[in-house]
Amino acid sequence: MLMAAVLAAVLVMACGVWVVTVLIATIARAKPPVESAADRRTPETTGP
Amino acid sequence: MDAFLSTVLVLGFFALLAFVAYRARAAREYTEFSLAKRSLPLALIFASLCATYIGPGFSLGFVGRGFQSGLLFLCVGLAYCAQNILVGLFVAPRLRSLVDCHTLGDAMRHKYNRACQVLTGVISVGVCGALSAVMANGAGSVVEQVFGIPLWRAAIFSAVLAALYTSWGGLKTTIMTDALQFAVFSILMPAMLLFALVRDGGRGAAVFSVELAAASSTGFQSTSTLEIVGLIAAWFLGETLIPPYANRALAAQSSRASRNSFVLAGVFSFLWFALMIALGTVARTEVAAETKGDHVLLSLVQTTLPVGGRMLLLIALLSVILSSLDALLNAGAVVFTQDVVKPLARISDRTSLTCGRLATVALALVAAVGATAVPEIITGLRICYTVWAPAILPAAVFGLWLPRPRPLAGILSMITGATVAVTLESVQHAGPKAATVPPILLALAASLAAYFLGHVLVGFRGRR
Repeated sequence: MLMAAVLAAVLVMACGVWVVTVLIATIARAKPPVESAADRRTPETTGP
Repeated sequence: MDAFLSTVLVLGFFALLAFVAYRARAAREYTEFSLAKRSLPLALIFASLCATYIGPGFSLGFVGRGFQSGLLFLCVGLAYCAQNILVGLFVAPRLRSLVDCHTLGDAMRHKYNRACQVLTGVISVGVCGALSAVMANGAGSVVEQVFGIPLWRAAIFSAVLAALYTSWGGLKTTIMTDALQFAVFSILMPAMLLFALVRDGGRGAAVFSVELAAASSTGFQSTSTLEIVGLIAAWFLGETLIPPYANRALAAQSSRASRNSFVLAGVFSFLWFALMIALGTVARTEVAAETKGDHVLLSLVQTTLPVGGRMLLLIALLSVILSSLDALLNAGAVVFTQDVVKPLARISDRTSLTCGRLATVALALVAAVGATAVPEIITGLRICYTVWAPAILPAAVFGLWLPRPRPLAGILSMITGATVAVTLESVQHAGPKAATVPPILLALAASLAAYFLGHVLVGFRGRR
C-alpha cells in the first residue's frame, strides 16, 4: 500500500514536470521573433 | 523573516501567473475568447482538464474522506476515472469533429434545434454559477484558515482575481494559467506526502498500512450499499461534459488530441485520488480525530510543515482552486454568449467578445455571493452533479450517437431531468435523512423515460 502511494506521488510529479516543460516551450515559441541584421538587409535583386 | 519569506513566495506566484497570462495575450476575437482558435496541443488540454476537475472537492474534500473512510473514496474515484476515459474514447472526438461549434449547446443545435440550444445554455449557466460558488467557497476556506480573513471577503478576493485574467484573455489564458497551476500543485502535493512519510524518522510510513486498513474498515462499515451506488453514479455521471470540459474537447488541435487528453486525464485522476487518500491516511497520526473533513489537509499542513513549506502548500491549494474557478467562469461566460444571447439577438463579433467579458465578471459576482451559502464542498458538488447529469446527458449522448435525433425528445428529457432532480434535492435537503434511492438515479431514469417518450411520439406522428 505504501509503495503504491509513493509510486502514485512520483507519477503525479512526473506529469507536472512534463506539463511545465511544454508550457515553457509554448511560451518561448509565442515570443515574437527578433529581427536579425540579415533580415533587415534589403534583398538582393538579380536579373534585369 | 518568516513573514518576509511568505510575502515573497505569494507575490512571486502571482507575478508568475500574471506573466503567463500576459504571454497568452488578450483575446482580440470572439473565437479566440471562446475556443482559443482551436490551436491547443495535447499537453495543455490534458493539464487544463486535470486542473479544472481537481478543485477543492478533489483535494480538500478527498483528503478529508481519506482521513475518515480510507479506500472507500478511491473506489468512488475509479468511477470518475472510467467516465473520463469513456468520454475520451467515444464522445470527445465526435464533439470535436462538429464544424463551427463553440459549446455543447451548439452541438445540441446541430443535432436538435435552437430551442434545445437555449435550454442547454440556461441549464449550463446555472450549473456553472453553482459550481463557481462551490469553488469560491473552497478558496475562501483556505484563505480564511491561513490568514484569518472572513470567508465572504476571501471568496470575493478569489473570484475577482480569477475574473481579472479570465475576462482579459479568454480560453487561451485560462488554459495556459491552468497548466502553470497544474504544474505547481502536481509537484508540491506529492512532495508534501513524501515529506510527511519520512518526517520523524519515518513514523508516518511505519503506521501507514495499519491506519489505511482501519479507516477503510470504518468507511465501508458506516456506508450503506445504496449510498455507495449513489456516490458512484454521481461521480460517474455528474461531471460528464460539463461546460469547461466540452470547451476543452472542442478547443483541441485535432480529434485525436481531444480523445487522448481525456484518456490521459482519466488515468491521471486515479493517481491523484490515490495521492489524496494517502495524504488523508498520513493525517490520521498528525491531526485531531474530530477535525472537520474539509479542514484535514490544512491542519496537516499547519502541523507538519515549516513556514516556507506552509506557504508553498497554500500556493498549491490556491492553484488547485483558482484553476477550477477560472475554467468555470470562462465556460459559463462563453455558454451565456453563445447559447443564450446569440440565438436571441444578432450581434457582431466585437459585441460577442464584450458580452463574454461582462458575463465572466457577472458570474464571478454570483460565485462570490453564493459562496457563503455552500454547505460542505463535497455536498455542494454532489448537488450540482445531481442536476447536471439527468438534465443534459441523455439528450447530449443520444444526440451525438443517434442518426436522426428528435428535438421533442431532447426538450422533454432536459425539462424532466432538471425538474425531477431539483425537486428531489429540495425534498431530501428539507426532510429527515433516510436511506432512499439516490436522487441522481431517479432523475436520470425520469429523463431517459421522457427522452424515449418524445422519440416514440415523434416517430408515431411521422408514420401517420
